[in-house]
Amino acid sequence: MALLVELAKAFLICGLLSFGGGYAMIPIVESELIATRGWLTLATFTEIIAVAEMTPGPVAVNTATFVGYRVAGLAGSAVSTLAVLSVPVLISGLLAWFVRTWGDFGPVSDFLRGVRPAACALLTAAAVTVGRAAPWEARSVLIGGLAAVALIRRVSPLWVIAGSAVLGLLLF
Amino acid sequence: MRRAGPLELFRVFFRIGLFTFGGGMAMIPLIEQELCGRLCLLREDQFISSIGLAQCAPGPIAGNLAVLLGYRAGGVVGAAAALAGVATPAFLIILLIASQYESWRELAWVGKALLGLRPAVVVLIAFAALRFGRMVVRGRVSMAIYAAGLIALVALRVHPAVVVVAAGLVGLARGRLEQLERRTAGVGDDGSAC
Repeated sequence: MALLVELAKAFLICGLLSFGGGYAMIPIVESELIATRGWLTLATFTEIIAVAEMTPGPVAVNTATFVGYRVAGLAGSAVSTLAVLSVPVLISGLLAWFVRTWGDFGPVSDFLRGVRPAACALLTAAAVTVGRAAPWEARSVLIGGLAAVALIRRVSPLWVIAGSAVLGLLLF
Repeated sequence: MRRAGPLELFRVFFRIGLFTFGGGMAMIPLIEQELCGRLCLLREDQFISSIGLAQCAPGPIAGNLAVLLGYRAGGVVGAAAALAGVATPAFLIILLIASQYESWRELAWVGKALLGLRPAVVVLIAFAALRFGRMVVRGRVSMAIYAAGLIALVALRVHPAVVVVAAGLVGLARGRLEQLERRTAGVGDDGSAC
């Protein structure tokens, strides 16, 4: 029980401090779980990040579930996952409520109109970041090209994702 | 816009959570297709501002987006359903992997499939940026916000939340100026009809 409370505390802090998505959480997990509590070794943690990257879903949820399971089994994974999501959910819930209630109010709608091009910049920057990490060889460019053609022809992103995974199996 | 039931939102976000590799941004084309296109639950402009807002709260972008969009489409219950939907596949899959970890890490094909996913994810995100850009980045002020934001993010490594808030403040200032210049109302939102 004490272990579960500790897990909840650790992942509440992780959720609270991880501005900018799951990857921003990694240094916080490192200090909370490895340095302060000694639950994991750095080597195990590196593997957990790799697994989190390989599996679908938010990296923060993946990491919390994995660490929670390793430390305290099924109950640990459930507690950690709920804890890591709770603060972000409260804050984005408040934001959602605020925008729906006040979104048409002049200044708020002006603010949101300014946010939209910035959101496009965020997307472009995300593409640049992921692109830098992608393996730039002929076969990756081929997969990327095929994905682009498929998207232009309005193939569903679901098929693009599934197809590129299969191509990866065949080509790599 | 119609409202969505919790079960519908759970299903949609479950599928989104299942097919999202490589962080919340990779999820965006899929969400857009499902919520704005197929189900007609949100306007594109509402969706795009939510992307910015999701970066202003801590935590996973995917979870924040699920709450923001779920609330828009179905109130508090909708937000809870969307969040549960997006988190459940990740939770179950990791549980499975964590319990079978030693045998799972030997599998070579998993790594190969992932190498194939990477370039596709880049293209997916880039396409989303292009589509939204055509819709939203129009006019000198918007272009300036976009360009300055991109430089700040990529070259100067400014935090996304800072970029979003700064852009909002620029938008606020533009609104004030427009109001001062001409008192005519009805300068519409630059969104698409659904």
